Amino acid sequence: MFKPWSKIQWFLMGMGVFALILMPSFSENDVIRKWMDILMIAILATSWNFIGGLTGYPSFAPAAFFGLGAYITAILMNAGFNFFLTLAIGSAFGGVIALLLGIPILRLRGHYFAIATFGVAEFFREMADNLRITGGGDGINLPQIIGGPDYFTRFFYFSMLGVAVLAFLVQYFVTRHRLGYGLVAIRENEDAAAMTGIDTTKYKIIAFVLSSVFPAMAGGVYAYRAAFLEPIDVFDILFSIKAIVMTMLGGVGTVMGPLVGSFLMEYLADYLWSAFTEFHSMLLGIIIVLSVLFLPRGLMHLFQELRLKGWRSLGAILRNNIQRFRV
Amino acid sequence: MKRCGLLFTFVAVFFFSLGFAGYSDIQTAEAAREIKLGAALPLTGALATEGKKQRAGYEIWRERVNAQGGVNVGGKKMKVKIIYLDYESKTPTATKLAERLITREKVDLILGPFGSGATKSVGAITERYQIPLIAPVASSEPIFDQGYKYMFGMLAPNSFLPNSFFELIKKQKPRPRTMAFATRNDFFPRYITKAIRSQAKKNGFMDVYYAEFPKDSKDHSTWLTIVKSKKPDVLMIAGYLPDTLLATKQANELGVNPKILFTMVGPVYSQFTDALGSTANNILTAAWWGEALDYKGDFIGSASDFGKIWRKKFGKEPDYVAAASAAAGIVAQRAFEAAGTLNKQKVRDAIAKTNLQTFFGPVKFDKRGQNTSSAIVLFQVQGGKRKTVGPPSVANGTFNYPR
Repeated sequence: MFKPWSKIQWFLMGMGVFALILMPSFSENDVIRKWMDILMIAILATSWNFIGGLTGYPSFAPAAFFGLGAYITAILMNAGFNFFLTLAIGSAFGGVIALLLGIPILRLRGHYFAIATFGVAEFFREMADNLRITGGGDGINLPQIIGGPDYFTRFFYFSMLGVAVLAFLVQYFVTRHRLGYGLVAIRENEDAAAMTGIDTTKYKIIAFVLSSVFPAMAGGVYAYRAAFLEPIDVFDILFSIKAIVMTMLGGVGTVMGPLVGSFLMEYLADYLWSAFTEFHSMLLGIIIVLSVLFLPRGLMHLFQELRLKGWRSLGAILRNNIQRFRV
Repeated sequence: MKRCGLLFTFVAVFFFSLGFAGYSDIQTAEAAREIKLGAALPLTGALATEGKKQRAGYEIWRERVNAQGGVNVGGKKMKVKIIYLDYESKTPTATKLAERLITREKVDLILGPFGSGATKSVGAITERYQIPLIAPVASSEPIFDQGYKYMFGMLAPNSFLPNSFFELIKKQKPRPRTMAFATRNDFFPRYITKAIRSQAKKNGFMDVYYAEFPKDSKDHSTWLTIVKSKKPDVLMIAGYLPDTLLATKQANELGVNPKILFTMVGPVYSQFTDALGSTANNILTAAWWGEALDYKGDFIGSASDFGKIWRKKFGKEPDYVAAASAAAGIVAQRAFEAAGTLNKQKVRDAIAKTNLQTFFGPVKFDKRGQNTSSAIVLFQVQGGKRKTVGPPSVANGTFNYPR
C-alpha cells in the first residue's frame, strides 16, 4: 500500500520544500509567522499520524509532549544552554518519557487508551503548575532572542521548517519500512498481527516514541519564540485536538494527509476568523462536522478514489460516504 | 504514483500563492493619515466581560478625541483609529495577534490586553519590535522585572496594597487575629495573596490556612470546608471574577463566616454585586479606582464625570478596568502630542516622561514602567453601595466590622 516515491514525486516534494525555503525572502514577517504556525501544527499532525493514523491508537498526548519540550527548552536556556542543544535534549527526554509511559498505557485499547493519554497531558500541566522549577502558575521567562524582527522571524521559521522536514522524512521512511507495515497491521487487527509474528508491544512503543519526539522539538521552538510560558498555554489539549482534526481532514494514515490538512485548516480558520469575527468558531465547527460526514477518510483518500474512478464519480463517492451512517 | 504528483503540483502552487498573499496591503498603510492603535482583547471566552469593558473604555476615549478633531501631532490634527482583535481569552493567541497588529496593520502603539499573564506575553513581543505598549490591567511587579523599555502599566503595583489593608484591619475592635488565604493558581491572584500573606505575621496575624485552587475551578467546597473548621477572623479569596463570585456564594451556603471577608477581585465589579445581592454586603475589596474618588484631569474630567459617561452608555457603575483603559488612551494621546511625531522611539520616551493628572488619578511611571504615583483603594459594599474605607486620604465611609 505504501509504494516508494518516484523521482518525479521526490522532485515535486523538493520543489515544495524549496518554495518554503525561498518564501521568506519575498514575504512579510506576518506571513512568515503564519507559515511557522502552520508548520508547527503540521509537525503535531504528522507526529500524531504515527500512533493515531498508522497504528490506530487514538492518542491525546501531543499536547503533553509539546508542553514538555517547551518547558525543557525554557529551563535549560535559563541555565545557559544553547537553543539547538535544548531542542535535542527536549526531544530525547520526550522520547524517553514516551517509552516509559508507553509500556503501561499501550496495553490499553480504544477509549481506555485515549483517556489515559488525555490524563498524561493533564498530569504534566498540573506538574508545571505546581513545581518550583517550572515557575508554577506564575509561568517562566526565557531569554529574549537578540536581533531585529526580520532576523528572529526567519530564525524561528527555519527552525520550525527544519523540524517539519525531519518529521516528514522519518514518516516517509517508516511507512516504506517493515515497521510501517507492522503498524498498519496492528491497526487493522492487532491479534492477527501478533499471530503473524509482529512484536506488537515493541512496535506500538516505537510508534508512540516517534509521535512524541517531534512535538517536543516543536514545543522548544515555540517556547523560545514566546519568551514567556504559562502551563495552560502549552499543555493546551487543543494542540492534541488540532493535530487529530487536521490529520483526519487530510487523510488518516497517509504521509501527505497531515500536511495537507494542516495547511487547509489553518488557512480556513484564519479566513473565517477575519471574515466572521463573532461566530467564527461555530462556522469552523460546522465545516469540521460536514467534512467528517462527507470525507470520513480525509482529502487524500478522496483524491485517490477520484483518480481511480474519475472526477465524475465525486457525487457518488460523497453520497456513499454519508449513506454509511444510515445503517 | 501519478495521482500524488497532481497533488504536489497543487500544494506547490498553493505555497507560492500564499507566499505572495501578504504583499497587497503594504501601500495602503502608508497612505493613511491617522494614528493607528491596536488592541488584542479577550472578546470571547472566559474573560469576555473584561475584554468588552476594556474596549468600551478605549472607545470612550477615542470618541472624545476624534470629536475634537483628533490628536495634535506636531501641529497636525490626526484622528485616532483603534483596531480590535479577539484573542479568545487565550494568551498565545494574544501574542500572535499583537504581532499581526504590528507587522500587518502597522500600528503606532499597542493598548494592552487583560491581566498580568497576557500583558507579560504581549510585552515580550512589543519589546522585540520596539513599539510602545500601554497596559491598563496589569499590576504584578514581576511583569515589569524583565527590563522591558517599551511597556508601561497604568495600575499601581500590588505591593501598595498591604500597607493600607493592614492599617485598616488592625484598628478594628475586637482586633482580628487569624487569617486564612485561598487563591487561584494564576499570576495575579497568587501574587497579590503573597503580597498580603508575607506581611501578615509582621502585622500580628496568625496564618492559619493557605490554599491554591485551579484556574476556572467549578467547585470551592473542599477548601471552604477546611476554612470553616479553622474559624479565621479574616478570609482572603483571590482570583478573577468567576472564581471569587462562586467562592463567595459557596462560602455563604456553607456558613463560612469570617469577621472580615476580603475578596480580590470583588464587589468593585457591578457584576459581582448584581449576582450576589445582599450577600455582597460588607465584603471588603480593593481596587485601583472608583468613581467616588476625588480625581480630576483636563481631558475626560473627574472620576464622577467618567462615571456619568459610563452610566449613560451602559446604565451601570464603571469599574477600574474600564477607567484604566480610557486613561491609557489619554496617556497615549499626551505622549503623541509631546513627541510631536509618531516615531516609536520618541513616543516611548514621551510616555516615560508622563506626569499627568487624570480622572483615573495621577499617572507617572517609575523606571520599570509602573504607575507608582497612583494608589490602591479599599472598598466595602454597604447597603448595596460601594464606600471607600481606606486609605484615610481618600476614604468617604467608615468600615463596618464585623460583617
